[in-house]
Amino acid sequence: MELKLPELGEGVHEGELVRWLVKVGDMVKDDQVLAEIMTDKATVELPSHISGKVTEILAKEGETVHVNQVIMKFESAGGAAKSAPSADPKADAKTVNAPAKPAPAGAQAQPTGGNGGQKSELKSAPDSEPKSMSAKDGGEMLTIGGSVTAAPATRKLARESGIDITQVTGTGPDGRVTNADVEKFVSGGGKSAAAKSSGTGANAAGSPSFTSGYAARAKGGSPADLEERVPFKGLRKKIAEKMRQSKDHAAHFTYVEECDASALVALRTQAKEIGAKAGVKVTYLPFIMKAMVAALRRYPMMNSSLDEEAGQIVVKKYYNIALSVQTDDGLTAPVVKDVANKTILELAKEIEDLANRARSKKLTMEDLTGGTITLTNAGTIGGLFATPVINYPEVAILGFNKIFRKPVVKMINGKEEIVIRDWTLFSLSLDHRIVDGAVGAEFTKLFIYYIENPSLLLMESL
Amino acid sequence: MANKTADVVVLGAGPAGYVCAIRLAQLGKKVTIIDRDEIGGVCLNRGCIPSKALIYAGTMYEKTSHLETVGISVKGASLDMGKMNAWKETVVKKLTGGVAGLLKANGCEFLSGDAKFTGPKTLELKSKNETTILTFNTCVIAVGSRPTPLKGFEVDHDVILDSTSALSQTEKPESMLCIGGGYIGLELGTFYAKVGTKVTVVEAGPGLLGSVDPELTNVVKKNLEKRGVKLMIGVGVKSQVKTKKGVEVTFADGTKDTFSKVLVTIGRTPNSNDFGLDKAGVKVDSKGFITVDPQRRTNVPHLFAIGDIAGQPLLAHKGSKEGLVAADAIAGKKTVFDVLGMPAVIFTDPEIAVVGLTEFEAKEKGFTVKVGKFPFAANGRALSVVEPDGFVKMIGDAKTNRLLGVHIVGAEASNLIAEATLAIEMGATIDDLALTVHAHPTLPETLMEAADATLGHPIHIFLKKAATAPSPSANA
Repeated sequence: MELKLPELGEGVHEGELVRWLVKVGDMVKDDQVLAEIMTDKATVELPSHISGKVTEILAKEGETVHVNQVIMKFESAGGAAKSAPSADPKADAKTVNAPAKPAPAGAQAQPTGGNGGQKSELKSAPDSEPKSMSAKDGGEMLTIGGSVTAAPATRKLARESGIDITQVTGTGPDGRVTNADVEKFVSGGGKSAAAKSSGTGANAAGSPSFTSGYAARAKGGSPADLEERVPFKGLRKKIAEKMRQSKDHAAHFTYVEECDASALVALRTQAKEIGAKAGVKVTYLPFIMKAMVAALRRYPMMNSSLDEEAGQIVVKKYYNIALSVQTDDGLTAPVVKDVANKTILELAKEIEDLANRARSKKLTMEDLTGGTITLTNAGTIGGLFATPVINYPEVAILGFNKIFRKPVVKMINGKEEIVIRDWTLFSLSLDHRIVDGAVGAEFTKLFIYYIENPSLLLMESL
Repeated sequence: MANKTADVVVLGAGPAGYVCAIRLAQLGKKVTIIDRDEIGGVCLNRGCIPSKALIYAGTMYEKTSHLETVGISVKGASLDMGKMNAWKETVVKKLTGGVAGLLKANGCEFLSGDAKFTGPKTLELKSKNETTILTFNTCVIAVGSRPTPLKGFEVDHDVILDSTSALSQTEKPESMLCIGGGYIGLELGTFYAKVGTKVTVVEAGPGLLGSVDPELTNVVKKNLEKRGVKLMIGVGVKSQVKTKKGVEVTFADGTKDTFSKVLVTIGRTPNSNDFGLDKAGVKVDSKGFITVDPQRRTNVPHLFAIGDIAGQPLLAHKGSKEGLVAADAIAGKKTVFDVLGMPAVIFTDPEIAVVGLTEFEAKEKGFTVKVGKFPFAANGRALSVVEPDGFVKMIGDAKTNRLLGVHIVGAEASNLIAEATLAIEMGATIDDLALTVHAHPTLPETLMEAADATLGHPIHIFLKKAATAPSPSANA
């Protein structure tokens, strides 16, 4: 029987087959995840509607697959399939991983991490249920006489290091994978996923065949030791496409202005205490979003997109602010919907939740769509300012940079004095096809006026 | 009704459950372990251990009466089944007492009583005097299996026995019919034959010991026949009537015979009906086994299943291993059940022990196999302990020389299989076994020689075929 790719989501007709989680000969059960497929919006898991044995896999990893394309053949268990999958290509692909939105560049952003070098306090949501570990997570299951040989202790070491042992090249007799091979793989030879768990490879001392990258160089090692070839696929490829699309279409123009953030800092300090009592971590971002909305109301063109096919500029009268979040897999931009009608605490809570879910790969398609403008927070890492890349087809992205203490000249009681203030820079990239530089500059000026005088935001809420 | 909370509950204190409980405690978990019967489960109380004790005693009795060949004659050796049974009980008590002590020392709380799920996180525990509602975070289901009943041959533990009552006979039956020629039927049948019972084994299937390589089974079959055991293979049983003389059984072929006892050993059935698994939402398959993932997690993420209830093979050591895996998984360790070689041992005479693939399975999986055999009759130790029956059969991948399976029928096969299991788990080649020095004179030499035979150059047997002679390049 054939398995056709079901619909993956509304308006989604194709996706990249990132990874097969089953192989030919595997017995699959109803609900078992067969593959991961990355669409424009998110990576989704393709669950099985069949029980049976995989006989053929027709789509390669990295290949673009279309809805209704036959991607796998199988023998159903017990003759008849429990539910005919090809007859019912219904979408209940679950979204697991969302980082497919364009990455507003220059924005290695930690949205809730406060600013000025404060460390993000976001933790992934505590998991009360123990997580299931699939055979794959534990490394490929070996079979008697199979192509990979490794002793039980080596298999355990690989599992605990988060490595699929079938990916490790064995240097022992008859290609046997040794502990040293696993350790070498962990400490740099292997895939990026493996590199993360390098801690476990630390006890490699004393293994005679252990070779670090440096040792390989010193010995004039082969190119294979000095270079690593990482497949260009999945999220990385998606980010690349989106970046290229943005730079190919939008006429980027970046405008930077400085800002006295002292009032914002004071306000946020107060709000933080209130938030703490409500169990909400309040960062600068809700205030910045509110100020953005106030300024966008005056400069609606900033909150638009260009429908090139229809030859129309779509000016949006709702304010959905996408927020760039850096995850282990890459950059993603979940959307905070309807910012105008939410309180500071509501926004703070939502930002925290979205960022948590982005990092634990639990964003849904819904979380990732509908943005009208993007905010990126580069401040947690530092740097004077970034020139963000527009989250196409939006027309503007605002970069929030670090807050730092700075001596400035202020007129106090008619006399110039040098005082220490909290200072920051805002960088605005816009699509000059739609928004003129002057409009962008005026927008920024008004936005900064609200940041410097946040109490005036009260006027907005009435 | 009392209420109680627990972190991890292990339901069942057999070899899967108690091992899991101890490991959980070692990993810092607060463990409550429940059983409706004694600590140790079927294995310690009504299975592996008592049967091996009796089989040992039976073998000693038989040997004592047959030592003329080595120059010893024992006159008047007598058998006291009651005493034998009492001794067996002391062995069981010593072991179960030991396990109870270990559980206690590890801080595991043992609760006795009938427990049933009332929901995914609650159990109702009925003990002698009270009912307790136990709320837990995680539960490991290790409720085991029981003998499969046979319609028309309902066990009364008097004349129609199951494995449990067959292990507690205080008098030697005159005659016995074992229904089912699987390993339990043959082990117990052999024991009764050794103590002098006239044993008949009836097996409805095409052969004894199901999936075991028939080449191995034949050795056991011959020895059973030598002992006077009547084997009826491919014959079913139809009905029985209890008479003054015992049980008159009508076979499917129309013949009738009367036996003082009938032992029903047609298989084992998972205990999936007694524990309210449906209330917990746990899925079971059509045979009643709980379906589990590689970590032995059920479809309900905080519920695990191990041992017989979690599916074939129904072996104590398989359950214990699953217990360790589940405990690690519960403690958040990265673990899966990744066993390559699951040994199986059968205490017939001689013993059978197997690990890995059979020749048939290996061919079915697409391997080009090379097979080598070495007889016990060519092993010095086997001869010097009067155990010349049997052989070691080794299956290797002809392309890679990787060891695929080892099948032993012969003395101490149950002990010999450990080396083969390690070899398979390590991914050893036939050469590895052949090149390893084996102490002389010992039975494990048969494994080394079988490996050499597989490679074509055993020392202590002569292979006629020139084609299997070692080529100079084979070891290069």
